[in-house]
Amino acid sequence: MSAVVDALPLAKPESPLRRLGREFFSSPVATGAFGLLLLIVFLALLAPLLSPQNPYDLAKVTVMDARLEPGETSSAGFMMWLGADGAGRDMWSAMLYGLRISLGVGVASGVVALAIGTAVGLLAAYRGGWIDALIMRVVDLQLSFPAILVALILVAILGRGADKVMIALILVQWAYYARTVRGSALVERRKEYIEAAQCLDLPPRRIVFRHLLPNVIAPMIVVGTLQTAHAISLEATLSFLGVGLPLTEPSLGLLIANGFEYMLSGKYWISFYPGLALLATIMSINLVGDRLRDVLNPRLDR
Amino acid sequence: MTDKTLVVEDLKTHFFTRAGVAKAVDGVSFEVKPGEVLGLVGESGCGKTVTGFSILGLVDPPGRVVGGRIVFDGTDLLTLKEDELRKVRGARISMVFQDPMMTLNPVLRIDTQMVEAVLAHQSLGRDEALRVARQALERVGIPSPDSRLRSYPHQFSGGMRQRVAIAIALLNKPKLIIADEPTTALDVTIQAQILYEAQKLCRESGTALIWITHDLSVVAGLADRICVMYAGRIVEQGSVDEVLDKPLHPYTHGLIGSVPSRNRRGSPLAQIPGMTPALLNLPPGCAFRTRCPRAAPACAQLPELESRNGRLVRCFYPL
Amino acid sequence: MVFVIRRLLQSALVVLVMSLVVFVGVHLVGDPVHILISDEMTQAEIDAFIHRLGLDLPVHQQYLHFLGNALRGDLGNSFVFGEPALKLILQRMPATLELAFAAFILAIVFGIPLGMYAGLKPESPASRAIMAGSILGFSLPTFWVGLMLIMVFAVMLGWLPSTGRGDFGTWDGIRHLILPAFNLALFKMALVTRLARAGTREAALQDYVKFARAKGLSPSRVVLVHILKNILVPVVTVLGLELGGLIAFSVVTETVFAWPGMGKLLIDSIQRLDRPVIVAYLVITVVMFVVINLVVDLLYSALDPRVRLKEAKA
Repeated sequence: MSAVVDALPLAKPESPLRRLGREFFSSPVATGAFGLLLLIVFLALLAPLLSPQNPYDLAKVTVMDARLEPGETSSAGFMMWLGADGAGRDMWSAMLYGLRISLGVGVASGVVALAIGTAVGLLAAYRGGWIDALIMRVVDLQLSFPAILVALILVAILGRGADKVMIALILVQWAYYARTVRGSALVERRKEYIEAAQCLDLPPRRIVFRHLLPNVIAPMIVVGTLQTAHAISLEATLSFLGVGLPLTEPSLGLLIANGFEYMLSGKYWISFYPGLALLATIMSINLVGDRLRDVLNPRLDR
Repeated sequence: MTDKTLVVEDLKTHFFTRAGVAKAVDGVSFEVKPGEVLGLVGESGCGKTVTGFSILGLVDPPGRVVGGRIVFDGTDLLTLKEDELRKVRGARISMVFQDPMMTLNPVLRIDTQMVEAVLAHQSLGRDEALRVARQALERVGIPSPDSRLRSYPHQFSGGMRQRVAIAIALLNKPKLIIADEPTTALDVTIQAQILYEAQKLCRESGTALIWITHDLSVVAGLADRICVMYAGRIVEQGSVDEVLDKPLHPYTHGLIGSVPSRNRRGSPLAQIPGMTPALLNLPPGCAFRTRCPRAAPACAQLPELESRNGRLVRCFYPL
Repeated sequence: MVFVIRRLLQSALVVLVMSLVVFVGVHLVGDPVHILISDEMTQAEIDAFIHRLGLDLPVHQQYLHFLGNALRGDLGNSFVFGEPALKLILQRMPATLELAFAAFILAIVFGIPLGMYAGLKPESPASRAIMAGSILGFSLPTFWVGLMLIMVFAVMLGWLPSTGRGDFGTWDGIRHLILPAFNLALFKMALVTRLARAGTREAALQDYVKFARAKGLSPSRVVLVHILKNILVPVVTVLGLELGGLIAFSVVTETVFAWPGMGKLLIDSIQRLDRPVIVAYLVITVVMFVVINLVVDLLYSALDPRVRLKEAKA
């Protein structure tokens, strides 16, 4: 088919960012997901303002409200649209606060892991030789084990606590970033513009940051979004299992775990709504990341 | 005309892309007689490969044959349904592709790939089919065919792989073989061997051969007749000796002139100025107009193929 | 043959390295004494324990001691049950393996055909639905899906039992297996579908497919032999590695469905601070992983003839 493609007329050049935006939003699904994601972030950031009750302020919560069905009114007089949990907390409020924590922990751990992974990956790619070999051995070793196992090992060794969970999440994720970044950096490194920069005798740090890094960003973004979704899911899983964040920082996972015992008696809402929030978050991030990957991948035929 | 193996009449194959319609094949007509070798020549993008695919119904979306007739042995192939067409493919018309590394499935053994071609068209036992395969390999000059049959494609050299592909094309004794640039990816010496053998096979078995290529020197020694294509249309057609000795169309003339061996050493290489036009944006009238040294206002009208001294030319001002 | 031996040695090395990592992790990060003793021992008992375990010896000797014990199968006794930790884990292993294999088979049986169909007809509505479903499949948090499955099928509809294993090998056992296996399989099924689709799409564009059609082969043969064999290699490789993931991830499903496997034991042990069992689980899992990776490597070279030759030359 090269015959037809060769014959296509030259397009007017447009800024890459603009083109990225145009192509990204040409998919209605991706646009919807992006919008949903914005909404979720908005809800999480403004949780205190949007919830009728701070579910962790013990003074406001009373066990009199326990297990109210969705649509009933609480004793403080406001409508519990999503019902109440076993301790009388309004599910909507709990969900918003939980969203805040889940999203916060997921994104924070992701950002730190990205920074570490990128630095390590760039180092490996740029230096090559035994540094590269050593780093990649470690990365491969870690990546050959499933994330949940690594997380469980880390939690078992480090113990419980919010900071330990963060460390575990970061340690689980950095390897993916390192591998991706190293991979694209290696491809870029062989390209001529790097050789040219080296001929100009630019200092290595400048080459790496000003020349190598911008070209490596595209796959990083894709891996970043998909990894963040994975991190959020992992944290929720750990919290659900009881080895994640402590009770004082109840993420959506813990909320779902709390609702577990009420499931068999039919009080679904305690687990259902936080789960829905979790699902919406993960799914919208995945859809956005998926679309980004399609759009940023030059090899894919449209 | 039942003594002709293949008659292509006014074939049109268009590609419906998002950027517009590309008329890859725009009214192509030619004939091939039994035992004859027809060379289909042109630059990349002129539509020769698509013509080959169109004959076998292998044009993939967004492309589609939109008009014309392809009469093979008396039947118009374009009227056949898919399962009838399948009976033709590989049995009565075979095709050899350009790059044998890509056309042979890398994870299947050679005997698997040959036997399946036989069994798709003849009801033989597996051993019988293997025998046919072995014979075909011998015919194309592959030594120790038994061990070769049990090998995988990557264990062969390029030239051998192409011989295997040709052997596969011969398995069911087709009446027509369409060879799409089969020697382009090979060394010159291997190329010469294969050309010689191809010619021999056609003479011996009466198989018609359409040899698609961009390389004039290949066609010169091999073909009986030649069609020169440009931008989806045939611009000159005739016997190989006549066309190459005395080209009538300016494009053919340019093509011949640009073959390096025809140059005197030291003088600059002749080229045809400009580039092939974008298929989506063909200028009206003669497609070669923008690059032709003889272009005149009349060329804004598309010339028809006209007969001159037993040849066909599409030009108002032939040489 | 040389290839096999080389991989075996590599695997043994990995196990060794991992044991070193766990050991060092325990030493550097946590006080090993605290990790291995129960919280209720008196100082005298602690001292005796330390001496018995050789924890007052230099580190490298301790490591060798640990290795020696481990090779003999002695990984300490569970605080909660008082029995050898290794034995407890091994007792629970069959249940976990049953679950993981069932999920594995489900993922393949549903994932590959769905993915291939989506790859062959990418624009059809069914194919788009399949892809949407696959995104849903790996976005859904496993534990939540498990809860919802129980809600719908056990509580509301009452078709299937909600927890427990039932009798292995009987219809009752299978009834108990359905929901948890499906739950565990969902994520992998989504991955397999996407992989199969990508592979099929790529394969369908290759010249050898066109050539196969030019030979006049029937479409079913083209798909089932030519395309399938080509995508089998990457799919099997990923799947094989994912089997290990399934075993690890069964932790979640076992907790939700109260399935009596190793995973549930691990979580309970983490919560009860039954450290020897934790260590035993980690060791067993690491060994399993390495074995699985090894098998996958060997399988890969058996399936893709090009790899065999490359290794032979190396």
